[in-house]
Amino acid sequence: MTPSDMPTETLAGRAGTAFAAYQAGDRHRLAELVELLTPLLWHTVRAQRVGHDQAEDVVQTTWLRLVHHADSIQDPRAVLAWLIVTSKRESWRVVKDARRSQPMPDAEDDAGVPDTTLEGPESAALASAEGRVIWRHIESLSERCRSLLRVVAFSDRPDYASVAQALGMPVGSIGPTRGRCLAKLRLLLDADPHWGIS
Amino acid sequence: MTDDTNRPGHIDELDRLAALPIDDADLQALDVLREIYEVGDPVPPSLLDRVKFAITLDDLEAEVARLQREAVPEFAAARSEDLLKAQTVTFTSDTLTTMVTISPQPDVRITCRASPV
Repeated sequence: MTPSDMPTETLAGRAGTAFAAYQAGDRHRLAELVELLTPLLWHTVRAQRVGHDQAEDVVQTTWLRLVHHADSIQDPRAVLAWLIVTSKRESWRVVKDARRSQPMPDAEDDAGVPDTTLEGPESAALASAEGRVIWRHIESLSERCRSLLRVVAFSDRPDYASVAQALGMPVGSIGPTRGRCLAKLRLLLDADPHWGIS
Repeated sequence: MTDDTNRPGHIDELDRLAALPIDDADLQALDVLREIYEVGDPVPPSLLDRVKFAITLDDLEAEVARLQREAVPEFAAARSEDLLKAQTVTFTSDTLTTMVTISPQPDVRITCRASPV
């Protein structure tokens, strides 16, 4: 498939097209890629419980990794998945280092890094009735599901399967099926009389 | 309300829902979620510029390293003949062209000129 044949309507497709041009020598297309995917990467990193300032470092490191390894990515359409995997790996490294350099946390406290992630979204959720309902159910899900849905919310529906796969939670190969995390949320919402389908 | 998800009937229902395609109601829920995270934990405004600057700096370092590699034999050859050899690099962005000239001998000098495109 040549770059011009790639689907351009989804985030992964647009990213693949820009990255193919960059690989072919059009260096300026990298800026386009950075603008396109930094929001998704930010939320991928923050979903791994990386602190605010460190998350900026992780996103920056991820992009520099891409610059250094651009030639090794054979299929430009895979660039979104590659970036997600790299940012997640880098997040784990940072979180692990932060845990090691801190005094041993309580046995019950599995975080080790002060978790400031929830405060902002929590207050943002209170701003609307829909937000309040959905946040209550999101909080009842496992952390794994919460972080998957957070990243998925920033991707386009046709990219859902590849994004979930890159996050280590494959949802099946045929079409963008919900997968268990989204199904859990859906089950809770369907049973909630406060969640109106408009 | 969340206790119900552990009942056997709900596990079956969960598997059934999980295997179905995403529909508009899912997308509506994901849209609400996205807005919560966009407002509650926004991308820092300076992050894009910071990333682009880091990439430019990285390119610059790679370019300087390349010049050093390529220039070393020339410097070595020039030393005996006391030949002045200027090394000039030009960087171009959409709005600005920057030219950096390194004059190695007799006193190391770096000249930088910037001009609008």
